[in-house]
Amino acid sequence: MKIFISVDIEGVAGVVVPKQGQPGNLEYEHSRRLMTEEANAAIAGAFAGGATEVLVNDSHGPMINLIPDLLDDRAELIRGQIKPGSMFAGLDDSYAGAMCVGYHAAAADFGVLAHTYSTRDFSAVRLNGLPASEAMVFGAYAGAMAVPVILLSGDDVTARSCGALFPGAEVVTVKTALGQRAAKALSPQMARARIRDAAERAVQSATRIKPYTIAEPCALELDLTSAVLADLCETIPVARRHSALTVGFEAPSIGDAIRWMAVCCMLGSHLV
Amino acid sequence: MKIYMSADIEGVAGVVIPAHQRPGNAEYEDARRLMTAETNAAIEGAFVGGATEVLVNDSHGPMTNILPDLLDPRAELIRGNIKHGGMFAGLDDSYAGVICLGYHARAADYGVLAHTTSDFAFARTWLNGEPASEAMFYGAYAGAMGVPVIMLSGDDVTEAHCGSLFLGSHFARVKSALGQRAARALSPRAAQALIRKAAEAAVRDAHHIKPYRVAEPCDVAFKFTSVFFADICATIPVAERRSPLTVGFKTETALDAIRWMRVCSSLGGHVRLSTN
Repeated sequence: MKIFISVDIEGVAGVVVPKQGQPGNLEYEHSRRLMTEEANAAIAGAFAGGATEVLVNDSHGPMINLIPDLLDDRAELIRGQIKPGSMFAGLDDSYAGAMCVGYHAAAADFGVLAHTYSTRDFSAVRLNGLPASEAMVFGAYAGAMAVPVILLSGDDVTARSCGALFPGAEVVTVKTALGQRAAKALSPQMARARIRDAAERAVQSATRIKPYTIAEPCALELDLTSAVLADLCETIPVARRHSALTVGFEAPSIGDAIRWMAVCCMLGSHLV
Repeated sequence: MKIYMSADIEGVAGVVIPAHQRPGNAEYEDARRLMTAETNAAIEGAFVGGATEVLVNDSHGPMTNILPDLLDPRAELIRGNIKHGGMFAGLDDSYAGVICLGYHARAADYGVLAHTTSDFAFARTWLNGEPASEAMFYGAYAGAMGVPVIMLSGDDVTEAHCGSLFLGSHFARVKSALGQRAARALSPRAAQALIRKAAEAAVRDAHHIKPYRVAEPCDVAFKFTSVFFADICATIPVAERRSPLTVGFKTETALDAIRWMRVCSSLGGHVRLSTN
């Protein structure tokens, strides 16, 4: 049984400030280690639960955060970007389930370091009219391949808002948000133990968990953080300007919706 | 009679090096004054030739190069970026003709500072399979509205290329390329006199000059300066990856081809931030 694990950083126990997700400082060096250990906990649990193959996709920022020689050597690792599928790169319908480790709440919601794909570029993201988190967007991407999300870890807001999308999935709350940049967290050891146990149970029950799907074609709406970025996104021939700050796309598939979101995020770099 | 002017900087007499077209240095301050003066020469010629209204669109880089208080006050000026229509923003079918000032040769050709839209992004660009210059892209956009390019100014390589596209148009050759960053140029005063005369003649001739049209729908293709850059542009859902360095798009219109070019060029910002 093949298991896919996507690992982000903001939802890791102990991570609370932007620096901890930004390469080039000591805080980040600590958090990438914590991130790698939470990934290891999920890998260990997955194998204990019956996985025969585990693929880990580094899913944060430059996507070279996980430290390869500290990662459980039974797993294969996808590093770097640009890559097709982004946070769920490498996933296909041969996987029995996907795990989202270190995930966080959606843009414009409460929750530690809540954002959707890019704090710099998006103040909110909607998919088919609903506020969209990364877990929702990529969960739907997996669902379109009939792969269920079987485990989600992060803070309490993530557990509440995203957990509801994936009935039957294991939801691990490793910290409780006290604000955008503050949380009450489990010790790293306790967080890993819970992730390990949940991953084991998740793999054991994977075949009984339903994929999360959304209606396709889908409507993607991006609230940009500035009108000039909205101007720039509107130069895309198929983009629709909905308001001074909002641009929308009709996408035939959730995969295309994700790509439009990523393109608009990369266009944001033009204005830096 | 309404006349539209698009002003770029690389084809201005006296401009020869990248610093001339990059804000933030003394060389650029000289070049933008020369650019403004060549624009004034064209405005003067257009009014003498019978124009009743002139709209100038600053079309280079950040599009805030022309010095407004040195520009002929009879003209209106479009400044800034991002704007619908890019280098031909503000153009519609009420204009009798377009004048392209300070234009330059296309990417991968000879000619002073030759490039198409972005030398950081594009090693080559094609429109409907033809190697494409900015004049070709935007001339096709104007042509789709029935508006002809009636005059251009720039170097000899630009003249050879554009003369064959815009039949009957006038050309003010203000310099001869000796290389990518060297030219033998007319004095600014002589260049401006030549531009004034060409603009006057072009406006008088405007009704006899046919719009330049390309087949629509179009095929636009870009050869990027790096495979990583092409990777980024290939993430656009409707993009077609045609080779490690090449990405193409099918578009309904010439304008949409231009918009893809601008989108891909703007994605260069992400390449710059990803250098590590």
